Amino acid sequence: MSLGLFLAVLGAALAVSVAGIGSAKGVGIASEAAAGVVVDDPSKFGKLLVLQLLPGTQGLYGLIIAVMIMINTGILGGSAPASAAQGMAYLGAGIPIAIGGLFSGMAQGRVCASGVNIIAKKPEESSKAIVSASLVEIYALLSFIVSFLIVIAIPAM
Amino acid sequence: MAILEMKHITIVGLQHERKPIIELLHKAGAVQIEDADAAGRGLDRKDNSKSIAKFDAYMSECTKALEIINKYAPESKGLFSSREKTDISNYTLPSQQIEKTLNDCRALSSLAGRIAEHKEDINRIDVKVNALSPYLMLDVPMKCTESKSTVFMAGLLPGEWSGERIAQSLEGIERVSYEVLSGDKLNTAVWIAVHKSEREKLLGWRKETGFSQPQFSLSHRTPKDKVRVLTEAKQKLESEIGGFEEEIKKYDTKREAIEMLYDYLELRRDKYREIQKFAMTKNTFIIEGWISAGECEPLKKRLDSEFTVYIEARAPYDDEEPPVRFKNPALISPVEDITRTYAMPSKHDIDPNPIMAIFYYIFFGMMFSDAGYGLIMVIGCYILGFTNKLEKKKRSFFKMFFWCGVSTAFWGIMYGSFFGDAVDKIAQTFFGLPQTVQLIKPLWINPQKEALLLLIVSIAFGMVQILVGLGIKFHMNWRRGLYSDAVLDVGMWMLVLLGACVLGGGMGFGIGILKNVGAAMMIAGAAGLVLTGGRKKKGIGKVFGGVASLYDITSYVSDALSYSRLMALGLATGVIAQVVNILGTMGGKSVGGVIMFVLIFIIGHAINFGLNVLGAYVHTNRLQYVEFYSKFYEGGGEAFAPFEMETKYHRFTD
Repeated sequence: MSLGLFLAVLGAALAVSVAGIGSAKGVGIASEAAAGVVVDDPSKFGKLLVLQLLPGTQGLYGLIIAVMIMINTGILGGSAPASAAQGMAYLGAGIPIAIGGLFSGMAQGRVCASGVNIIAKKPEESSKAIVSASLVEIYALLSFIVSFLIVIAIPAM
Repeated sequence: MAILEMKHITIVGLQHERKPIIELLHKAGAVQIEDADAAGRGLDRKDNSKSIAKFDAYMSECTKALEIINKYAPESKGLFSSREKTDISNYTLPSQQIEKTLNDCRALSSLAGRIAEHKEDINRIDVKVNALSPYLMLDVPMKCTESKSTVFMAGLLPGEWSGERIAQSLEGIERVSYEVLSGDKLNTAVWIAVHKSEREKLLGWRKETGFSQPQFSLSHRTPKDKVRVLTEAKQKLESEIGGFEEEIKKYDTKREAIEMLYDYLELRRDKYREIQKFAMTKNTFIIEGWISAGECEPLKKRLDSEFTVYIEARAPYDDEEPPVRFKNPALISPVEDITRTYAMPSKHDIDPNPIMAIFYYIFFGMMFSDAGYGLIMVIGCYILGFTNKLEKKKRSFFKMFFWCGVSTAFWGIMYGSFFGDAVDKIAQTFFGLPQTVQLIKPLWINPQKEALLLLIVSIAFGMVQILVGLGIKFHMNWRRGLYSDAVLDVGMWMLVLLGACVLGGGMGFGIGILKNVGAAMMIAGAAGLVLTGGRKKKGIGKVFGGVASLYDITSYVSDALSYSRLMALGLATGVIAQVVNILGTMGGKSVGGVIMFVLIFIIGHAINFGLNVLGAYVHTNRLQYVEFYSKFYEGGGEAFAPFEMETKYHRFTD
């Protein structure tokens, strides 16, 4: 395996796992809070599920970047093996979604956990809880877009 | 198409016709009854709180009875069940039927009570049997504590005691005998007999060792015998519980009657509640409320023809805020619920739904963007939204997703995505299609190859929505006569943003003249803002206010960037679908490979569908609420809530 391929794989691994940690923590925090409400009122499960799942998107963005890197570097059905410089660029491409996903996932988890309180006390206001959670999401999206734009620009290098 | 015109209605009627009149209003469901002004007219109100409390109590009896039945004889209901239809003649139930059903409820409640008591008894028996378990070896009754010359006692020594240790501790006491009955790490059960002359010494021994006698009442049977008796009693209780449960199951057939009674009580309670709002004299009553202009005349005619009434309907006064009811065509009305959860419009607002619906459907489709998923949504939501499977009120949600599905399928075709790249992947793996041939081509662009173009288009869509929002704000201010606010605050920003669009377009297509025009528009707009932004402030504030208003540009930039999610979520759907297809086709062209493909395809796409439909829904809502409505929508109105028949289990039909 060439150094370039190794670096690219490292980038893919970071993108999916570090962003995944953020999502896992976020979903965990939100789900713990939701479980407390479901004990008293199981019928709220559906509404709470939305809040539980929202911090899960960072992990997905990480997965997308990882798969894009794997396709571009020929690990998954593509063609050109990466040079050392390209490999470093792929590693760099993985960083934004890794770090952005990590912290936005955890922050979103806390917002969702507070949103669970809203649903527990005023279920009719659930859309406000969801909108609050999506305010955090934009930063994960921005990281994702930057990672994505870098990945698609690399083969031309 | 818009917000319905409301009329304030006053109905004066005669007391002896009160019941049929209120029942007519209840069934018609057209009037939102308000508290009539009684004090101002020197009139009374009726206090029905006692009757209402009584109905509430009966209703909770019904609920409890239904819970009991459902616990022992669960009802099988589909996921999308709707309330059963029932004839309007059930609006009033005969009193003996009410009495009979209430008695059934009470019988059920007493059966449940007896089951609970029996279960408590069983618990008590279990505790006793447990306490007796260390003494099972004892072959005399525990109540037997002395003979002519000796005293016996059974009890527990704390900790593990061997026979030797006990013998040692008993040294110094004459004429004593003991027997170890059972023992574990915590306690050792011992039976001791001592001559009466040595009784005092044994008391001392008890203190030293911590020997304790049982706390429960002692039986005249041997422990073994007692446990047998208790177990028999427990078995009897259990079989009785079984009997009670069987009896409860027989009430399965009464479920319908109890549900009917519940609905009847709910209707009556609501009626009594509304009556409290009337103003009364001895022979007449006054109802005040709101009605939509279209429903006003027919109701007036009906009341006039059947009763002796006086009715007055007028337009709302300027200081009154009538309740709001939307009326929109079929394509638009489903999104009314989205607006409703945000806020109902105030009287200054226009109905935002028609414009919002267009953006809603387009944005949802861009984010979900897969023809296959769209097709599933269209079929599923058609069945739930447009057929008789569900009640009318529950259908609107699915109607909205039907149109979202149409848009999703449309964007899927534009992006060339049908379950991701499933068609090509299947053809390549199982039918040997060469990799270079592409069966399904995007009608417009492949988002993964031309992401930058898609990003620009997404933000352009965003600029359109923001400008439309500002345009509505302009219109609202103009309509209220706030001309300077309309032009100077809103109009200048529109000029700046339009200029930015023109400039961007000029740069994108390389047309020099557009660049100049756009830049000029932006500068003109910004200058206008700086010059007029502080006009409502005093002194030095006039200068700073103007400059500060320009600072809002940051919020417009972040709003515009926010629309990048249209591209990001659209990509997410497509790429994850591709990942599923790649994983699925890894098994290659073999029997095992096909089975693996089918399994991974179904599970993987189901997960992707679920996650992304949720994401698309949440983010579409957010764009409407945060980016669009914040530009113009004031909100704060009250939703029209007519006095109508709201029931839990049945749907009343003529």
